[in-house]
Amino acid sequence: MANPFKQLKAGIADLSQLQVQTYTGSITAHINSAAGDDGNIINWQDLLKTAATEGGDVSLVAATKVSFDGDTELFIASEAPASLVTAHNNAVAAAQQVRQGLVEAFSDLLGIR
Amino acid sequence: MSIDDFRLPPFQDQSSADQLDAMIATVQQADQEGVLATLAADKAEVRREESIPARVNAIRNRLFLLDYLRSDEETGENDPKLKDAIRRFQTEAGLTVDGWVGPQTWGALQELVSFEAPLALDRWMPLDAINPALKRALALRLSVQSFLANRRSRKDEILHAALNDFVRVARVFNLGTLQPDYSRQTLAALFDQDAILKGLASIDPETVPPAEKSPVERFMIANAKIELWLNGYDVVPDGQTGNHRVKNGKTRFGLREHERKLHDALVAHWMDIGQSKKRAQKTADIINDNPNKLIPNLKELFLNLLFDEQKEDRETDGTDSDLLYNQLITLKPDQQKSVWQRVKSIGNSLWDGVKRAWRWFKALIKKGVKKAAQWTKNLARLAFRFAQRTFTTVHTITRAVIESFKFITPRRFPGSDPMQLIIERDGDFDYRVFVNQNADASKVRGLIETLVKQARIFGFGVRLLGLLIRAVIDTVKNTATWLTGWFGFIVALVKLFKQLKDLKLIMDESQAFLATA
Repeated sequence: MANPFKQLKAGIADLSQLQVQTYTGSITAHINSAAGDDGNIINWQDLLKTAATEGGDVSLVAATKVSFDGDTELFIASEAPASLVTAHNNAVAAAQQVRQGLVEAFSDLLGIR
Repeated sequence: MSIDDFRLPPFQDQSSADQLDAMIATVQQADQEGVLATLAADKAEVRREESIPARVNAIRNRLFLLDYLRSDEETGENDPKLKDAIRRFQTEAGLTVDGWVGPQTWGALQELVSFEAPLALDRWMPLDAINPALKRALALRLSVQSFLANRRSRKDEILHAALNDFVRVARVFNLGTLQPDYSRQTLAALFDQDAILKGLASIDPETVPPAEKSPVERFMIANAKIELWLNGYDVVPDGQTGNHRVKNGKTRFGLREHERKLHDALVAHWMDIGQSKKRAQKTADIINDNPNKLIPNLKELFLNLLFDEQKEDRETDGTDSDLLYNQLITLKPDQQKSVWQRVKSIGNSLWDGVKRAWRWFKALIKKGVKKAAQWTKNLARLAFRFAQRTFTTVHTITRAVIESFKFITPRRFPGSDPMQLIIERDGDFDYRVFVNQNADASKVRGLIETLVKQARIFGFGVRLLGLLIRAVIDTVKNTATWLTGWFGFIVALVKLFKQLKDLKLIMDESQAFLATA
């Protein structure tokens, strides 16, 4: 892999805030047979629409938004199972580690280098 | 391109992404060219390591000392004798027999041959049965300690007799009341060079029984060679004690080569700690000329070599590595070149004497001495050692960071499984997690834990690379232009050493990660 950090940097527009959303439900209706243009195999637009509909086959378990200055906004669905909340929290922790590494690597994107 | 032609990338003028990529390339190049090669982590790396002469020589030398090889000389490119010797050692030592020297085999060799590495007797002497590789190491140790004429003698009765001689001498040096023959306590005492040095320094010359005087003197002379060698002086710990008393006052010129080397090393040592040349020679001559003063004179030597035992060896906590860094960056260019020449010749051999060289260095710094005979040599040994340790961490974490790209870069986390869990990211590294309603909770937990681990390695790895880039920039900026080559990289690694403690956890995780990647 030549210049891995340079490649990683391409495409990143904004590191100033981090969002993690966790959903659960039946995935079958929202999964693409091949990755889409964005590289994802889940049709997120479609899924998000369903999640917003009451009685849909997908629901939002938790959502976290962490700003660069550390401010955190957290949503947890009232009936979210504890195991899913734990999974969400761990995913947030992982995403923050990645974010920390990216900020460390590309802090010029934030105008602090 | 020769090793001296290398120039560090111009980190200062680059964007952070370019700096990181350049540092990864630099670390990989340092490893490939054997500037600071690490031990082969797998078989694929062995071929490259076999092309580094210093590394192969260090392995060959240890196998020779343990009598797995009859000659210390190279026998050809493929060197089947060396490979055969490695296999025989691995068989006897109870290691995986694969004919290549990775961390386990190297660690076992070091443990048996090195004076400073601790010996795990539980491993080598389970249920009081002595491992054949340990028996070889025992013969070697008894021979360099003057109790055995031939290190190839491994017959039980011969080793028992030599061990029993050691037991008698040990009593004089307060090394404890040891049991005869293959007793664990006796072997532990024989392999504990630190305790032996303290015993040598604490002897009361007046209380040596006349019957033990001769073996005590031989033991002290043998250990003078060991300790001076460990401190970087040009003398060989060969166990030869010879007739150090030369008639008619013929001191230096009446001596055989090994005796002359000891004499010259003693003179250099006494001068290093501040004696005039004339006085240093006189002090060294006592060993040859005045039998009555031999024991007290050598006791004085060992006391000196202990330096300040109370404050010894804080190398591992890294708080003093700045001392070394500051010495290295203030050397004049010709001195830097001289230290670099030494570092190059050390190659990848991890020899003994680092603890002692560290004590020696700190004691001399305290005295303000900067012209000791061993100054360049010991500075090189210490620089190499600190840099080697830092480099091992840097190299491992760099490899782990590169591996972590496989997890960080794709839009979909590679462990994703539609039946369990899918984790995807967008262009700005915001994450969406989808947990299948029928997912197995333990599998979801396992996948998330893997993601957490990858993320941590990536985050810390980038931080470490950033610290190293900063250390290189500082080193190059603050010092002579000569430090823009590999030596500058080594000096930067010394600077980084003290920050490694914080990174130990991530180092352990990186190693575990690489083992499963």
